[in-house]
Amino acid sequence: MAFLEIRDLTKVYGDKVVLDGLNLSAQDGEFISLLGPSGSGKTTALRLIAGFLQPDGGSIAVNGKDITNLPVHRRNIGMVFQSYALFPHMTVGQNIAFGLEQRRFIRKEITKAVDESLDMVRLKGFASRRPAELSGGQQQRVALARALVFKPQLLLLDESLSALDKKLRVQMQLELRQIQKEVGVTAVFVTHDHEEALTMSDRVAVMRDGRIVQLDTPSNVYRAPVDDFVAESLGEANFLHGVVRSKDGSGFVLDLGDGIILPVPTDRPVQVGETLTVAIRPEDIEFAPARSTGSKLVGRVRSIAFAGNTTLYVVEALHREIRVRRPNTAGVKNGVAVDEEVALAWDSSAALVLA
Amino acid sequence: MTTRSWQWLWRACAVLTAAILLAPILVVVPMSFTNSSTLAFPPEGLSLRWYAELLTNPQWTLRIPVSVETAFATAVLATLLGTLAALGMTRGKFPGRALLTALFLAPLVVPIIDLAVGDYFVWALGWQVGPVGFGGSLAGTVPGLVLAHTVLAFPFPFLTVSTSLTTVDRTLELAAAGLGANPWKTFQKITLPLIRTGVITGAIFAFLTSWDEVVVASFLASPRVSTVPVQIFTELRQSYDPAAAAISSVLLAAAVVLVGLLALIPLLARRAYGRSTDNLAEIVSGERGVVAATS
Repeated sequence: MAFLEIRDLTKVYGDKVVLDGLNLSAQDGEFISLLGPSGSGKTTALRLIAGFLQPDGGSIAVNGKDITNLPVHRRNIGMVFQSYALFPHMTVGQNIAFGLEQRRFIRKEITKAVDESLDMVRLKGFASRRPAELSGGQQQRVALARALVFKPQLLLLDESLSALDKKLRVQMQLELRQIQKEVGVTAVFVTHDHEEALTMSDRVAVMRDGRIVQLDTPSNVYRAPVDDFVAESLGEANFLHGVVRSKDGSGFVLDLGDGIILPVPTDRPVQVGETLTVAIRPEDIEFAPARSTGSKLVGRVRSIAFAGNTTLYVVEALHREIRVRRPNTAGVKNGVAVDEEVALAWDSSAALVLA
Repeated sequence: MTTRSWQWLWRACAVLTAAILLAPILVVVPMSFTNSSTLAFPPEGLSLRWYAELLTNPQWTLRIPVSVETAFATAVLATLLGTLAALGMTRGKFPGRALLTALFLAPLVVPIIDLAVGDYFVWALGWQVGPVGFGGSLAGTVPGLVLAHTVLAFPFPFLTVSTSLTTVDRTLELAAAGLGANPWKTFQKITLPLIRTGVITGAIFAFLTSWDEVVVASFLASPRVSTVPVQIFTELRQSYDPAAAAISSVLLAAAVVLVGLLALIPLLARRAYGRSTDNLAEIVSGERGVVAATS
């Protein structure tokens, strides 16, 4: 049995089903992200695990013990809130000590543990400061220290990094993951930022309408999405629809219309004549010399948008817009202009077959 | 007229209005230092003999403890009940909440004479509904005064604590629970410190409500147990006793000190919470606005 075992978890508000039979299990020490748009039920799931809400069905077990009906204060779960929720009338030290005091640790042990956890989040010497005197990143670290100091069985993170600016957020992602690994605590992280989910997690659960659509490693959800929703949740994607013309042992040939065919390598069983959608990530598409042999698709450049490390080209082909993202490497020119006719090419493995 | 002269005119009006409002109050203070045996303005001579009278004459030495006890007990009881009611009204979700809130504020609008008459009959004669009886021997007792004054004072802590509660981030309470604090610990360690300003403000207003209350107290007073304001009223009707001016000055001083404390609360709160909670000053002045508007 997994360390965290969630079975058929259901939450209903009025006639709206917010969580529709959620199943999730996590191994000890695993870092799992719940990724989804607002209203997908990810925050509700987290609040049910924390005990802030009571489920209308299903069960939650941690380390083999059912906690579904345990009140919040007896669950032994650490939580980092989006707003950090540091107690404004207490010092940093008192904030971190709070969980230990509730567990009736003796004063000497509390002082020692507070010092150690301040060390862990690189805030040595901040114990007597007030939360209001700290920067956002520092408050974030205090919140993390407070949530971990009493050695919880589970760490819950509710959009915990989204209040930080981009640069700090990336730094905190790595730091947070580092600390979680050191402590070895199982973590469930709620986010709507796909880069954050992919960077930090052992596994990502992509959620929609109160259900998990796909739960897999970051590279698998990115490279083998089960449907267009998952494909788009994890980054930009172009969708091409076509009919399966022929197949062999290594894949099939997809007819995109207008006489354009696309060989797709896959081990997925398909039927000849079946209508299928494949997704192609914009960064997987290259420009090939126009009308060169082996080019797959010819189109006209509609717009070019410079975005720092990459440039986004919108190309009209197959009567639709196809997005192409190329890296901006110093000394390398893509040499493509608006209205120019271009041929698009990609490695055949870049075509992701969707269910 | 130029803008500048208009400004001067307005200022003059403001000063005049303030003077008219304050003069009757302040005239008491010099009168209390008179050496004459009846009240006189301007005071004749300068002496503290009427203040000494307060400490020696039994008609004052018996009243002062009653007033102080009643005001303190009222402040404690009204603040306790007001805080509980505020918690119930802001946190609870049940039908009839709006109606109940209106009832809680009723003492502010019900004619005080009605309350006094009602209190008088129930406190003195008792009220029997089937097997349940209440009152009967409460007139002329400190507990009787405390209960009657608590009804009058209750809306103030109820309002100030309600206002404070709306500014408390509920996430903090969830966080405390998540860290292992049971509901009582959460209230004691998180909620109460955060609404402290409202609780203290409410307690001060409750204290003052009882401290200078005459109408209900004069109904419930007996020759043996009475309050200072009632005694002042009695004294002034019978004789122009300057001791009444002396005790009035003492009441005034106490009120000024307590209201001064209210002004200090934001400064203390700022010291305690660091710089991000400067808006506490606004909460307190907002509360005072609410109270001023309703009293």
